[in-house]
Amino acid sequence: VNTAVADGAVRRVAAHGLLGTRLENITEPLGHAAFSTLLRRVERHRLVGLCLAAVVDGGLAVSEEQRRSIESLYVDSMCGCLLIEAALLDLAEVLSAVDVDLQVIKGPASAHLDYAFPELRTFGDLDVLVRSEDVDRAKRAVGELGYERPAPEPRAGFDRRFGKGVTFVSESAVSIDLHRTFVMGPLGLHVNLGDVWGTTERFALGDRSLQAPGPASRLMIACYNAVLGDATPRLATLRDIAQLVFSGDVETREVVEYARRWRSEVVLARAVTAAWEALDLADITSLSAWSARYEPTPEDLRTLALYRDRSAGYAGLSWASLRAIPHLRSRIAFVRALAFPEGGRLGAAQFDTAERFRRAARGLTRSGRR
Amino acid sequence: MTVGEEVRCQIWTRSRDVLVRESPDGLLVLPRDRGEIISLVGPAAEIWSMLHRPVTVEALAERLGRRYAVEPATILDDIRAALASLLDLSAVRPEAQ
Repeated sequence: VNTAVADGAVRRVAAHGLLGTRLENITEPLGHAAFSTLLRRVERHRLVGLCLAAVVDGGLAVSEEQRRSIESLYVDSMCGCLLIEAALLDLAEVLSAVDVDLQVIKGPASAHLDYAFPELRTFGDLDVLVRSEDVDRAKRAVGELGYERPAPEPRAGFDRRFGKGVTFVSESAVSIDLHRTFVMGPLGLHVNLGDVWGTTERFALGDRSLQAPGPASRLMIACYNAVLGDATPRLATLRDIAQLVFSGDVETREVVEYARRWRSEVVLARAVTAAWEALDLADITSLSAWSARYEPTPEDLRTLALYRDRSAGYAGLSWASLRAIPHLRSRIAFVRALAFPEGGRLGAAQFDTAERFRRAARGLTRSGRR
Repeated sequence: MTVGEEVRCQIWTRSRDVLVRESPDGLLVLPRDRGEIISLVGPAAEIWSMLHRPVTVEALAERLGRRYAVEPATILDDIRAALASLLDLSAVRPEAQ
């Protein structure tokens, strides 16, 4: 019961401020157990700022003690966001020094571009996009900042040619995801990064002006994250989708065209529908109507099943993406990189070669090998 | 310009390279060259907020005087002391006159 109460309250928090939500205000303070669960959910779903706003605006009734707990969590979260933004500015400086363009994606970009105040969107790590040809220079620059890479590159050149991105962690536990693209596997190979680099938007942070993808690309990135990321998507990601759809900055025609070109219409439709359901939105927009009408193709369903099969893991998605790599030479390089990681580069955290082949084969079978 | 001369400076603004979030009782400010987060509460937070563009000490005293219903002249020294603290924290800077 406490979990159900907390889940209802966290959805109400996620929808706070959206006029079209049918989720009702929480008018009585939650009991101790339900409130403790709510706090954990709010933190996991990156909703701490919206939670305090809901308390202040009367959307979430709390006791005085509960209010102090939320305020304390809020201050911790905001300090975390500030430290991540400071890391972002350090990164922007070192990349600029080696002539590498970056785009800020996900949480920090959403906070500054898609919400009335950045306080409303909390985030826990830093995601940036660089061009494929800049990946190696960018990695060196991040390393020079003192960040370490927990999982090594399978083989020289893999990150630049095939990888989704590379994760770095600092001594102070700030995590940077350096992306070449924003989704792995077959769908990642269809993403037209020219669209993403072609239309950008800027925001000010400290004394710098930083670049982010345009609204249609930001929406697509949030959709990939919602549908292909965690088994249970973060509510902040679903709220990002609603924010963008209601912003008036996203043309339905444009984003549907991106989705068609990137062979990801099912991702767009599923993500928008998931946002509408989670936030219980009564509004009907042209994009929500398109999403509700979209009929997935058999290929869509096979692809989604592959991403949902967590046991297939990275290798399964990588093998499935062979079908999508256009040039034979690239395919061969990809197979070599996966099959024969260079000596000593494969971290202990990664499964052994035999296991990887076994999982990959399973992934291929389930995705419907043709 | 020495620190003493800076504090006597009449026009102030925010440091350029500062990151900020609102907090329940004021502001959380991270001047990058300092590398630590400072919590500003009460008048210190209000002064920093007013410095989104260059402002004279007298204008700050006028606005804060209205807000707290006191004679501006009586709070000039307090404002200068607050500015000196903010300067020490790298959160504000004197504007060249």
